[in-house]
Amino acid sequence: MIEIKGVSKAYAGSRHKAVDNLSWIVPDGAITGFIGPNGAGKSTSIHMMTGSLEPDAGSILLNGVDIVKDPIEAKRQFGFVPDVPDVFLNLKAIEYLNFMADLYAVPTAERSRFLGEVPARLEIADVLDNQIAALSHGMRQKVIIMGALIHRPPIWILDEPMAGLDPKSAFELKKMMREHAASGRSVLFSTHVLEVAEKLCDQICVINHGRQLYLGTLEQLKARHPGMSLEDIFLAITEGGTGDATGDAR
Amino acid sequence: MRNYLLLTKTLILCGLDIGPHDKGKLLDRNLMAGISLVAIVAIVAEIVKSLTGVVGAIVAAGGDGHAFVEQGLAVGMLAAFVMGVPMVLSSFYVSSDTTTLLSLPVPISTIAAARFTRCFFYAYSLVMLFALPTLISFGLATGAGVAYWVFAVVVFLLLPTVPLVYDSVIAMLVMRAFHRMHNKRLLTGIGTAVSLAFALVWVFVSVSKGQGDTMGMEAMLSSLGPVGAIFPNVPFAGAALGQLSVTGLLLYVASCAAFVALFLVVAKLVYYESVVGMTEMTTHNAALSGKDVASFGRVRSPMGAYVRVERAKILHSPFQMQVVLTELMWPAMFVIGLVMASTRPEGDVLGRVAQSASGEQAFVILTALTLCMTFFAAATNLLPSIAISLEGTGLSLVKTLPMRLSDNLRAKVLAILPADYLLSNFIPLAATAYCIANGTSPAMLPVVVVMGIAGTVAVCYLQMLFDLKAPNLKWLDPSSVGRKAGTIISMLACIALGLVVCAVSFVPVMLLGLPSVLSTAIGLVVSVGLAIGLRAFALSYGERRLRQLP
Repeated sequence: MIEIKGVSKAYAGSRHKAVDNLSWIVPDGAITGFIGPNGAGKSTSIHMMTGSLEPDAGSILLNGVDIVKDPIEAKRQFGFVPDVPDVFLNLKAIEYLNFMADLYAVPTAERSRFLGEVPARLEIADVLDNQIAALSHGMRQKVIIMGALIHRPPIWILDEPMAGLDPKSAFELKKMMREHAASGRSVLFSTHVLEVAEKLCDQICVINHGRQLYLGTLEQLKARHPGMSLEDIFLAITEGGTGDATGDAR
Repeated sequence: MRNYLLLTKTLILCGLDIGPHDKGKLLDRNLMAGISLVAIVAIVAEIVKSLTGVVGAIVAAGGDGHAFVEQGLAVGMLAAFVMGVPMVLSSFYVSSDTTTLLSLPVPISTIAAARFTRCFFYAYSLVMLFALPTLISFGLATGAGVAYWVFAVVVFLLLPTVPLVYDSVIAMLVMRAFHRMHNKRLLTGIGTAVSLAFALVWVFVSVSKGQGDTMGMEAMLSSLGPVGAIFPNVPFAGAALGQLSVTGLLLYVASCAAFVALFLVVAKLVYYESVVGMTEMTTHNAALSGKDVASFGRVRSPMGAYVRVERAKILHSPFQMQVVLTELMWPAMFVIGLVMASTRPEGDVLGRVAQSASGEQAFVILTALTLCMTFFAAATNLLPSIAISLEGTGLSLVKTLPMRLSDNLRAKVLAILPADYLLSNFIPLAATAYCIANGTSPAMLPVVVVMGIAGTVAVCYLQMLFDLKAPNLKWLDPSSVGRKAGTIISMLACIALGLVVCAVSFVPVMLLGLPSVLSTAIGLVVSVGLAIGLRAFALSYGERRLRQLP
């Protein structure tokens, strides 16, 4: 579970807050979608949840551990997939996975089980001996996803995880997300693709200009906008300010 | 022409990392650039001062000052030629903007010309150090008039043309010939290594001809004769400056134009074929070997894992060969000096060291050698000064890992330290072994080892501090990371620190007439103190700074 309490963040030199008083609980046993237009504050929020940015105000607890007060323990609670998979490009994919396994002290038996299962599911088993720089965007994304999941984290935080994945791998990842949520743990992912959110999410949080505009289920949202497509509802919420969707479902 | 100017401007701005940064970063960057400029001007001024005396002596002795200018220009061109190889390879072939540029609706020769011009601007930093002092000192020594200075400006501005045309044409032809080779990065690495090895050999040949006096200087410059001959426009420039010949100047300008035309023709014919597909890297599909699987199953400590990853990053970085060779420059200069000294009639340096090995003098020699080699050679290792920048945008992922940020910094230094120490200290270690074999107390060995390691640690953390202050995290091409003012400043700062440590170790002992073994004790204490202090400060500051970075 992720508890976000009154979190705000403004970048140095900017008058506007990138995230403004965000409060929210990402529950266990559910997939939560984080939706908003470009520059809405999704990545900033995610970076604060993962400890790569410090909030100016508020607190973030991951399974009850404060990311600012006890960052090391809090970071053990999640696996994170960044929006750009161009990291550790000079390493071989297997070296990267080895590194992540060592960093999270994954035992040998668990590593063997992981290596026998996940690469095959994501269809990447035969390129693990390649340098990450030599892999396509989608392949890099799969390697980073594997690195994030290798220590079986209770919380998954995925920033645009479907970007660049082929349909089969995207399907597999969605299946893995469902399995993870079904086992009673939490999945939070950001996306621009409303269809993905519609099919996958148990809960969505819509954000724009750093402010939370809607939090609830898609069914509740649709019920309040009868006859409108999801795209129209999204545009109405994000372009029309807070609208009537705000607060109703909170 | 408009496209060429637009492209050139954009490439130069991208290469210099000038963009819409926030005000604080821009100030840091400007400050760093300002300090670099001051340092370069100071170095040029010092060289000018020395050379003016040499030229004055040559002219007063009835020597050929005109030849001196020609040889000085040849040195500048040679430097641009040698150092230009990695620059041209990086700009023309490794740069990650290749795919984007090739898709633009502009002729391929325009793209090549824009990249050439970018290298041309960077080359000024090289010719400024190598040829500018010659031009200035000749003008000052001979009391030259306005015409000389105007001619000198024209000659200086066009000086990198011929060497860079050579570099570019050779690079294009080689890359075209090896078009089917998938891993062209290997070629660029080999090119860099060959050019730097060539530079080392050239230093050896030149220094071995020169003896430090004016006649030696002339001999050294004349040794460049065959090499200088590869630049056919040097005599024109020499005539323009030595005899104020307008014809010479016009021929110099015309020859530069002819070389540019040659470059454009070659670029039009082969650049596309040589560069297309450069960014493609083929993947091979194969199951993991048993060794890989076994290695994967082995559990290591998080810190050990991080050090391994940092080491792997360095080994696969575009800098590894450059770092090794530049760090060997100081030891190579030392060996050259030793060989030269030994060939003189009063030579046999090693014999004299052996004779004094059982006395206190050996402590002084080994201490001085260790301090100088550690601080000067380790300073030329640019890896600690770009360690943070090399993370690029991946830094945000690194910050999410369950590890203290200071441990991240420690891992970076630990990954660099063993090779850095051995490269910078193999001569002091060998010298210590030699002295111990000839009667020096074996207790000197741990002293030399600790002093060397402590000095290397101090240098690494000092260099890293500069990168923490103003890192370049928004690069597209890792080879561009090294082109930041902070690397030069950190190198100069480490050399300055080495000079201070040497002064603190030796001057008080000499002035007060104390036992010279005290110098060793002071050098050891100061080195260890610096290592502890700089490490603590860098880790504390670095942890705070990394939290602020995006």
